[in-house]
Amino acid sequence: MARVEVLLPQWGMGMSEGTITSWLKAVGDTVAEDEPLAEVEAEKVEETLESPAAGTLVEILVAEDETVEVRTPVAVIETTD
Amino acid sequence: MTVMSYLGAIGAAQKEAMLADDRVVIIGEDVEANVYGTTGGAGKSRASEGDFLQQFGRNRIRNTPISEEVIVGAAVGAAMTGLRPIVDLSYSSFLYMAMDQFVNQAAKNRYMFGGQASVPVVFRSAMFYGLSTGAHHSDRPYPMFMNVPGLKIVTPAYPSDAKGLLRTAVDSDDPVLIFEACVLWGSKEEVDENEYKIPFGVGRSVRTGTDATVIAVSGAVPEAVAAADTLAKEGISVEVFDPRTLVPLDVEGILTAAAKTGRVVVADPAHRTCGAAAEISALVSEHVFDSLRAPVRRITTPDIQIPFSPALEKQLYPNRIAIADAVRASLGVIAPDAAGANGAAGNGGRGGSVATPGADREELATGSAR
Repeated sequence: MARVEVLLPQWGMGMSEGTITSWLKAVGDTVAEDEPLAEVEAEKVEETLESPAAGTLVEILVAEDETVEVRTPVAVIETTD
Repeated sequence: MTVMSYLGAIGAAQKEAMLADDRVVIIGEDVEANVYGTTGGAGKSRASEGDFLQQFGRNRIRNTPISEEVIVGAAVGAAMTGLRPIVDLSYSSFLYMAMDQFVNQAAKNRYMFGGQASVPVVFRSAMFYGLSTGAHHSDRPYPMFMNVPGLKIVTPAYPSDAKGLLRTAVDSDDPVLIFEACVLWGSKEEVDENEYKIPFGVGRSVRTGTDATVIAVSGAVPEAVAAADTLAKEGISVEVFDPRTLVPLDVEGILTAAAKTGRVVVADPAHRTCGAAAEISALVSEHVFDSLRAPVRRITTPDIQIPFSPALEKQLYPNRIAIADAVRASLGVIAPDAAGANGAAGNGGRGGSVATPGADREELATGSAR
């Protein structure tokens, strides 16, 4: 069991922040690696945030419509291994 | 009115200018593919229906090779022979590669040719500071260009200003350099979707106040407003003034805002030496010295290279904590949270540099004992 923090990625050099427009998973859901977790709107793009690990989504730290800086933890995934 | 991001407002202004005048063309690196986000269609997708390339064609939206000296030189030539180019130079630190064209040609040609040719060209570039882009991409070089007679320097801090000032820039018969702070790209506000133009040399009083004045430039403006919000809760009323254009500079507006309170802090993300803050401080000291009740203070970036590390980098630029501290110092008051044993608050901007009042006394006592 390990807790993996999902950080808001910096998708491009001009990106300083992003808004979570919608969560595609809920707390308690099982997620696979690279599975879409949330939709994010940044300065220049709308992108899908993908899960960095397989496991269970145990915490959502940033609510929908909230804007946070890049590298901010937005969720926590608990892995099984 | 419609809510626009800073980047969206620039795109809207470019589209307006292109529709209004056939002589307006956009040239630069990757403008066809909308890599820098201001030549797209309605959505953020590069291929979305109706992007600039589809609307205006390759004759007016022109990709260039990666050669800044050629881009700037070609744009100056195009401007002197009848077009009104908007040049996207992406990173502000790439302007250095075209210094000869900027300083010896763009800035001087109207004078050198006795006014026979004008140089109506707009150069846009973004300052990618605060985003871990390393020393090569994080510069805020507008002070270097303020030192070159013949160039107009524009530093919008809000989406509405970005739109109105860019429209005025396209109308200018002289070369205009627009410096956009990347950290502002995502900021949003209500912007008039109709055509409007903001004159150069007219600053914006972002907030009115009576106890102290913060004159802030570019990315420091929203930080100054945040500092003013914090200080308002402590009963300190702060005026925030944004000159919006550095050349021409709204000297009258700056002096009026400074003299109103007599306590002046200048916040500027550029390096300290010979910066915009130095110029503004000098003007205030020269012209309204009698109104000053405390020394003018500058909050700038120290004269050092910008580290890649996000943790190190963020501490260098003017932030709300440093600006608020400077205002308090100007008024001779101590921050409420500094009265506790572990005074440092917020995102570490103040760090461990503020001593507790007890420690201050001890230091003073030691000092006087010597």
